[in-house]
Amino acid sequence: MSHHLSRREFIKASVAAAAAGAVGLPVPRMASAALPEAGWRWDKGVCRFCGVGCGLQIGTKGGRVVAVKGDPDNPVNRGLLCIKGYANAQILYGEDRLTRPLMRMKGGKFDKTGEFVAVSWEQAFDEMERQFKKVYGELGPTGVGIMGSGQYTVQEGYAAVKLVKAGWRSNNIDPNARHCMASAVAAFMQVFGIDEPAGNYDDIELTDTVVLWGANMAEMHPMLWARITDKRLANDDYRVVNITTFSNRNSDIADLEIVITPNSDLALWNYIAREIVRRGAVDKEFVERHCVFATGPYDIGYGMRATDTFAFAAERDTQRRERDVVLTRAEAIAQRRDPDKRHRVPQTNTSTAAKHWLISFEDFKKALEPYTLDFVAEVCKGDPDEPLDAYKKKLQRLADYYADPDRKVVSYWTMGFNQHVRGTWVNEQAYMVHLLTGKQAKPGNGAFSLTGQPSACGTAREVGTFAHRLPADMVVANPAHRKRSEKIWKLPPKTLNPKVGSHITKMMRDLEDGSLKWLWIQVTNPFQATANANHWIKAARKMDTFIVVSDVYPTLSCKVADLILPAAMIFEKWGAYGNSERRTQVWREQVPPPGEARSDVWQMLEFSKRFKLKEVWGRQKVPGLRSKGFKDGTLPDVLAQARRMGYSPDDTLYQVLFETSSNRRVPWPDPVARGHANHTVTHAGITWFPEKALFEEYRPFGRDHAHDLADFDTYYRDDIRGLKWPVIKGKETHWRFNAKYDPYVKKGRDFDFYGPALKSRPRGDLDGVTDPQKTSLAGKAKIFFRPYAAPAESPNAEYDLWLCTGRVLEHWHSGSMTRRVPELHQAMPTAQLFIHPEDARKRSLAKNDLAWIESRRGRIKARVETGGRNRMPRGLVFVPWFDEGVFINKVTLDGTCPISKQTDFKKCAVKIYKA
Amino acid sequence: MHYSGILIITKPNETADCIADLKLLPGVEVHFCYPDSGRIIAVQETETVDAQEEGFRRIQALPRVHMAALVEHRIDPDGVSQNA
Repeated sequence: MSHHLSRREFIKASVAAAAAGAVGLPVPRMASAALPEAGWRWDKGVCRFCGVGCGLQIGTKGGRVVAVKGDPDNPVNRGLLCIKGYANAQILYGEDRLTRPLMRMKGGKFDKTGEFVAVSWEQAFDEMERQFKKVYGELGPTGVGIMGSGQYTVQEGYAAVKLVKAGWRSNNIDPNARHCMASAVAAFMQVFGIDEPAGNYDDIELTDTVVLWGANMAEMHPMLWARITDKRLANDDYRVVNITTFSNRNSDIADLEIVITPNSDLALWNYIAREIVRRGAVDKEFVERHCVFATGPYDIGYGMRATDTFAFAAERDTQRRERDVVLTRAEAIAQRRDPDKRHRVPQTNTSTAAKHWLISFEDFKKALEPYTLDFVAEVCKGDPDEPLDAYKKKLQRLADYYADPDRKVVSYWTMGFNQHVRGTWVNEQAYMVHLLTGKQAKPGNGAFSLTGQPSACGTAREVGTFAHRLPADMVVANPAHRKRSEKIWKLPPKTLNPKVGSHITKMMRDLEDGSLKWLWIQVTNPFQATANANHWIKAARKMDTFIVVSDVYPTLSCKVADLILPAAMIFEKWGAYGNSERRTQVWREQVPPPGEARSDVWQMLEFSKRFKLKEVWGRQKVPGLRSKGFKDGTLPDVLAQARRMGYSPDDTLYQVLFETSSNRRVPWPDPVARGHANHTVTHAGITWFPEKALFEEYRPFGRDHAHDLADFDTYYRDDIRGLKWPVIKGKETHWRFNAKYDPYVKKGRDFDFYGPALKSRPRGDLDGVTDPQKTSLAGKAKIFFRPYAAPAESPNAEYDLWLCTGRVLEHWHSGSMTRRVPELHQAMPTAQLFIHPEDARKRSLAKNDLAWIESRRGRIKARVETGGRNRMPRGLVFVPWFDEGVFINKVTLDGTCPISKQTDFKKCAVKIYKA
Repeated sequence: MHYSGILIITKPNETADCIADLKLLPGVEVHFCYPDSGRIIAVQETETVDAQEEGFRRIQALPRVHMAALVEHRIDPDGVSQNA
């Protein structure tokens, strides 16, 4: 007993000393002797649970992870972790890990109506290949697709893009990150001509004011919240503002809480901009030298289907708004129309929503005129029980913060902005205010979009696993970008398909209407994560579709699949992630994957062996393809040119895309491994290092293109904890576009918004283009005017409440991983319905009652919560979406931002009644 | 057994009360405190990871705790419960 006690005491003292030391607190000498960790191996890694990108140290012993600690040398989290830190070790060891391929079988062969049976990898790939080739022959490249993820490693995403775009000549690859931050991407491109934030997390300590817009940072990005809390408690002048549709944990420390109605953030930004102009707070020099003003069409729809052919009867009234909208009174005022007249507006720019033109400052000012304090307060006030006068004072205080030239401000946002039918607009508006005041791209000043997934930036965005993208911000529709990609990938000209593929929600719609029949889902759970899910689950079970899911645990998507492939998890493979502040971080394989689970890289390499060039690089039909140099609806046969480049029609995609002569020259074993294994190499039976070769092959896309990465080995150095790109001559870039920090800024300029995309625009006024002659905007950022717009669907007499969905701290996304960790599951075993006590009482509901939540699209049951962490205003309810048993996406609307195609999960209309 | 080292931040003038609250929690020991900055280092010992998480949430929920962060989580497979 005494032995155990002394050992325990010694461990506790060691843990305490290590914890204090890790966060830079002095430790008494007696306590500083660390417990010897016989046989333990420590190595650096990255948390796999959100976009913050916290650094870890992973302790392994005997092929198992036995300890995780925050990495004190990592500048992101400085030794701290949130509750999800516990899960990094535990997540590998859930009892229901998938360890063998499972296929629906009857009578010893694949049958769509059969039960899942364990099969070999060979059998699994055989059926995948047979089904793929059947669909590819029938529908061509648009009939197949991959749904990927912001949880892809950089190398996985790169392999997937290359396989789909260069190999299959399809652009049907899109990540779940589309649901997470596509609106941020679209706005970056529209405003700056290049993706991703200018600033970094150090802005938290360098600013005076943090404004959170639709970002429940306390729960979703706890380590950034820890830094804000720390700063706030130590500094009486530091201010924190929480702008939200319901009161959440941010408000515990916020100096100012502003509860707004859904979509009214659009009006609030315009009020702030109007105040800045009215008070003479525009940074004229900054604006004149570095900015232009712009606007675009308002009649852009809501990203729903153009037809109601597939709509449920109850959905049709909402669906009609895709074609025709009668403006609300507030919308009429916001668009400078007579509010007393009825304005029926055909939505004529649904497919040209992103177009925009330059306007004058005078027009910009005129557009802001309706956004007075009185008007905006009426539109925005989200808590009916809050006095209007008090609310107005809050809005004025908010405007004071932004307008004060001596106050630094950082605006942060996540899904509240991005999951928004005007997500691109509201992102643009954040830049509008920061650019007007010159509070952008400077230490402690900037508008900063945070991501939800660990490599939403590093993989989904930078590698370009989107239906419209190629690596390093390039796009398939741009002939110069295709040419550059074809050169790097050593492809014959016109191999790449110029027609943008289907985004993730459209792929679901394609399944429903039969235009896509073969789908491979990797590192994501889209059948739980896509809004209006009743449609898609039914579509997946149609007899002529074939759904493959690669995953680590059984998910809802596995249930609707035909074939399940067991995947390796984060520390069971080599990888790299890129976080929200452009920081690329890496890890080594720490432990072997269980059973027959294999990395996604291995899966793609192996499957690519099943295709000969002559099967995919011949003439292909692509419905709707119209592009200069291409015959309408057709991709040309490129085999003759391929022969001239030294390829044989019988070469496999594996040989041409992956085991290339240059990749074979990247040998395994490699000194960077330091004794760590690589199961991808082992099971592929190869002597090259795929993860390093793919990374090095990917780097040239960004080199000299403002996305420069360091070489693979540099990231593995002991003294490196990731580097923020662009990395020039070994140095990372802390603030982009600012001459003091960014080597891409042209000599002689203090700021240079050098992003090249969309920098040649026509001129016009608030109603449209007046001079089609395009003007070059090189080096400038755009300040957009965007009007307030009502959501796609609002409460009415029948569906009388707003529904908002989102995450909770303990669960990350669909919960397919965190729900396997018992302690996380116990904390919140089922998703709750958060509702105001008065709204509950009116419906005869009390805490813990079971209630139906019903929309035009479906209904589900959840337990009522009238208190708790989220305090709802009357009229709005919240349901987290992690719980398969409370399948809230059966209820949500699949409307998207028409520019970014990101779904608005934050607002639809529901009714609630006792179950 | 599972051990975690946890950093707690409170207001400097509430450090003593916060420590008193922490000491009432099962399995939690306060090892170091830094009243000038309101920082406390506690160690939580539990038999299961489930209990670690539950305890972490309890710490987060204490009224004077403004921030609690996990610093280190160790699993001691050879450890024996104090109750064994």
